[in-house]
Amino acid sequence: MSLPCHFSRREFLGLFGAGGLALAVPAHPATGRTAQTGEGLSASAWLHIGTTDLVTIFVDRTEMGQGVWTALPMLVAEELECRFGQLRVLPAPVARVYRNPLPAREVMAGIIGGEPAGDSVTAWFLDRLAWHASRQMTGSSSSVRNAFLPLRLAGAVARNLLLEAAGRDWHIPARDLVASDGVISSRDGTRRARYGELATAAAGITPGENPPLKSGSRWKIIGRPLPRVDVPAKVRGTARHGLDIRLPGMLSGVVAMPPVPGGSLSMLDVRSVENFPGLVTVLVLPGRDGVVVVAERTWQAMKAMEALPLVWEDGPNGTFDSRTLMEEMARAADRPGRVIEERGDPVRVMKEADRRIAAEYRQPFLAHAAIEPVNATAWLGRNGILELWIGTQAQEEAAAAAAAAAGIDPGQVVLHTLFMGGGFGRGLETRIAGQAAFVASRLHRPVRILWPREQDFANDAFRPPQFARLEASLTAAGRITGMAWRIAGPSARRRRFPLLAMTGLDRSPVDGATGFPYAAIDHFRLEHVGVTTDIPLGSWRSIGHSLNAFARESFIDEIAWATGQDPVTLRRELLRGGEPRALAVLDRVTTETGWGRPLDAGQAQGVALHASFGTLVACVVRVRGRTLAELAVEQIDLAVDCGQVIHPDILVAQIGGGALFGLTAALYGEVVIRNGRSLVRRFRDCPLLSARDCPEVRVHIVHSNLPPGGAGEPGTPPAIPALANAIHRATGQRIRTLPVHGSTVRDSAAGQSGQE
Amino acid sequence: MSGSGERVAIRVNGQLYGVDPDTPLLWLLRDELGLTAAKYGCGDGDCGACTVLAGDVAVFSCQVMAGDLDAPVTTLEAAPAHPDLARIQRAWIRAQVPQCGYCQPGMIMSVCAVLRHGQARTVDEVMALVPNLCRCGTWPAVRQALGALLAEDPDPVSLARAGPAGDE
Repeated sequence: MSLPCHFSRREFLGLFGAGGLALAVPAHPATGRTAQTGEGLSASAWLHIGTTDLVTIFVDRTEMGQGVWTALPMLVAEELECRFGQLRVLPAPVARVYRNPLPAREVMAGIIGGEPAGDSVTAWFLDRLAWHASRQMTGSSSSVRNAFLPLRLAGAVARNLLLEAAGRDWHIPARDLVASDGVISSRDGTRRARYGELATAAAGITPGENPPLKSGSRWKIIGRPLPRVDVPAKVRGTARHGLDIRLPGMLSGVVAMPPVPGGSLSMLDVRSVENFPGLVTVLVLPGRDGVVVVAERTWQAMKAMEALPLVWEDGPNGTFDSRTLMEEMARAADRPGRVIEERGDPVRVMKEADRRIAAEYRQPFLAHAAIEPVNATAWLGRNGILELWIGTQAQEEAAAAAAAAAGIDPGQVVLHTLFMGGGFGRGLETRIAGQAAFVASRLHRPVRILWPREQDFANDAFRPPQFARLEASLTAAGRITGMAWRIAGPSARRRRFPLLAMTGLDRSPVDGATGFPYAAIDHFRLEHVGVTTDIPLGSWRSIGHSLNAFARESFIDEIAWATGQDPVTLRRELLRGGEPRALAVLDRVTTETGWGRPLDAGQAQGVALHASFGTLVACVVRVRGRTLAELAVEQIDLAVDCGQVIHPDILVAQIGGGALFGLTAALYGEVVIRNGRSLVRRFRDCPLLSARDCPEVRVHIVHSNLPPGGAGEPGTPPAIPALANAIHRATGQRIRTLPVHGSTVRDSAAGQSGQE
Repeated sequence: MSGSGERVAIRVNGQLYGVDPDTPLLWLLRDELGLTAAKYGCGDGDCGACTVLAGDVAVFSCQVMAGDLDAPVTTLEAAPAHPDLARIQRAWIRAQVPQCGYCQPGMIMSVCAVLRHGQARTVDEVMALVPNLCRCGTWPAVRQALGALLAEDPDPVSLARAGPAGDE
């Protein structure tokens, strides 16, 4: 599903109409400046063809390793009929035309209880509402899904304008001309013109109707593993991340924030650092929620910050303890929650059951822990324009935060999107944009500010914790007759969408719990008990799916074990009457891993299945070790059906990388909070799967011509329960509390509650 | 903090510079010399994003004060003059290793040091000696690149000893 599906004539012309600079890459309203495109054809906000033959594609999504810098231009180039290697790729500016309706659409569908039928009035209405409510942002594995139609249209429209321009010049109907490799020619080859030669003429032509797009059988670019556009610069070390920005006269700032979220500065004494070399100023952030030390050089700012006496007031979260919240969530799950989904009569079936199985699952706060620390560079010029250089996933929100902090209109902000050194959802947070803008507004010089590693960890917007209870009713023979699932947990979207969270309409805590795949279970109920915490929470790779896949797929495995059934066989039965694509990925992964064949002593496999962001993934993890202490993860296999594959190697890297992200979290991931303070301060507090311990990763693509699903996140959710299930088979220990190994900073007294 | 303005001489990519001895090498490279390939990830010696070579040894440049350096420094920017470094880059591009790219310059320098040292002969042995953290999960592609490198030239030490020789 890519949106919007239907353009009105007016919208079509608005997006793709030619007409020179008016519909070019949006010129900034305050500066009048566009990106450097020169003369030529601006057939849409995504594409410019210069008179020098330079084809520029503007990518409106943030490149954070997930490959949009390559995949999105591929869509344009396919229809435009130019060689991929002749493209220049630039980041798009911030503009409404670059809005991303898909995440908004999915939130809305969640509110009304599910995706409406494609041709229904409700679907049309949601499309329109999402279109108008949406913002320019990158996330929810939506970039390719969202761009698949419009960017191909952009290429096709431009191609047709060039054909038309040539046709008018040569007095040959456009349909008798050929576009290929950046050249328009007549069929007999006697007339030829490069795109650049035709661009100016094409700019004066109004496009006709929605052009037909190529069928997949004619694709030369889509589906191919083309060399990625950003790889050479990243290998040479010339790719620019936030801290690589250098501007004339630029200052460097380092931020310290209250050790407890919601706290504030109560004492600051700058006298002890007054004479520090290179020191420019020490600023207190609005609301006293941080301090920025600014110096000529970063190291000077760090030294001064280290020496600066700071006293913080903890505020209301000073007694917060993550153990206490987990106990609170467990108690909250004793009360009925809001019913999210129900079919049949699970209450009756549970009461009448011959046999019942129940289990509780506890999952912790998680940190994003990207290697690049949070940073931004800002410059408020004398003309009142604020330029902001930032790796952000939420351009409009970041620009708005910057404008508010600098006391200017959002229209006065020019935001330059940079490569992110790891996104994983943390780029949706905009506190750094406000901080950078505030400092810039006080100094009127370019200033680059960063959160040192400890601040990055302490001030993360964590993946929410969760307590879940699952119950199943079974016949004496072990057939599942009903299932009840109660989730107690806070909302990851409260900060960005407070109204949604407050009204209980935010479905992120039940992401992935809805759309229960096991259709053969006739009686089912899903409930959510809302829990509130003031610890900052945010979107972490796959959001609620990371939590709910673990609970469900572990529980199915527990039922298989308790009833003496093979976990794959049980899932096949439960999938009957459900989504056939789910069965297909399950079959593929079990074939590829030889599921059921005897393994070496000490080896065991675990399986899990999950669908998210339009993509289905079945995962098998193989471990070795009879105890947790000697556990080694040897191999992980993932079968993925993401519909139409744009770039197979990017898909493999994202699904595999997502799985490793999930594995790492399952093994070690945990943010313990005591007295409001996160105990994770350094990477050494937060073990990550190392090069040495990394399992072999194999991704198997199940090909399909259905509309593309996402790639960035779907590998993460199933990896977690597949690991837990493998561990159970290998060691006899059922993992009900994550992480498997627990944090080294956790009190030994806390123990591993819930592990059997 | 060196308020006296005292300078110490260090050699980076073949050039001599006079720098503040009490500043970590990482910040001198990035902020004074404009060599931004080595990245700041933690400043704690945990992540390796700042890895450069001092002599033939990989060091975390955030942990080395300029005044304590006793060997010439090589950064990723010098790859065109170091055939073994350039070869790793070519293998990295062929295997399309980077995702977000932030950890990669440091990782490439670590791999270069391991291969120069010459003891690790298999992909597993090299991986065991690479301390760099990667959050995106590039390990499978790294393994592929290492496999190609080791298959191409089972004696990388001799290549390193051949010395700087421009682009191959």
